Amino acid sequence: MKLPNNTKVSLGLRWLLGGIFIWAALGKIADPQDFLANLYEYRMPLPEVMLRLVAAVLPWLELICGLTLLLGVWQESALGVIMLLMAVFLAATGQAWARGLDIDCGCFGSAIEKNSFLGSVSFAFFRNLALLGLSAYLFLVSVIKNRS
Amino acid sequence: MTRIAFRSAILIAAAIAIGLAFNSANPNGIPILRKNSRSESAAITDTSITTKDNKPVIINKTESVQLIRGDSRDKNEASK
Repeated sequence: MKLPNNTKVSLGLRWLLGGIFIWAALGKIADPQDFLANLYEYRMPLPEVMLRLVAAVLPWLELICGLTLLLGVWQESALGVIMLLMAVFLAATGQAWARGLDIDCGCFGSAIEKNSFLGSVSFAFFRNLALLGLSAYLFLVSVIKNRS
Repeated sequence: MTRIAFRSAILIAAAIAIGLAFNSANPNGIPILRKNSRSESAAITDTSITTKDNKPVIINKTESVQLIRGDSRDKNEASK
């Protein structure tokens, strides 16, 4: 497979993705109760204990993945986890959007103003789609580079 | 691919360990196993509910009880 691969562009995109994940994580770690309230608003048929576990653990997973991308260690593994996360976020925001839930996505904690377009689930859906594409591209570039 | 999966598992395990440790040490953390103070059921438990003559109401945990917040207080005030 032939992918457009410019090392500087890949590095910039990797740092951008890492920075976004660190920013998102810090917003949630600062106020875990607010993030949990956001999760409840999605009204997903999941056990409450699971939602609380997600609220406690997910921001740290995002922070660790963001830091590994910035530092350039275990990139492929971090990108794999990020792709998995983005797929889950896509499903969550997609179902909320399809059901017409007028909620904040909670993706960046309190870092994004409440009830704004940037925090809406419809915008979050397309943002997650773009980030999934970006992480998949970086994953493939990294795997191909390591094999050659 | 096995190496990637193994390292991904390590990242996830590290996040779980750090997240749970930080959450338990954080006074603003989330109670994972007990009822959250923000949930409706906890709010009902915390509210002292009394009858019109100020006797406490004992709610059987097996019964399904539907309460509207502030209802009993309004009735008490109306009866005065």
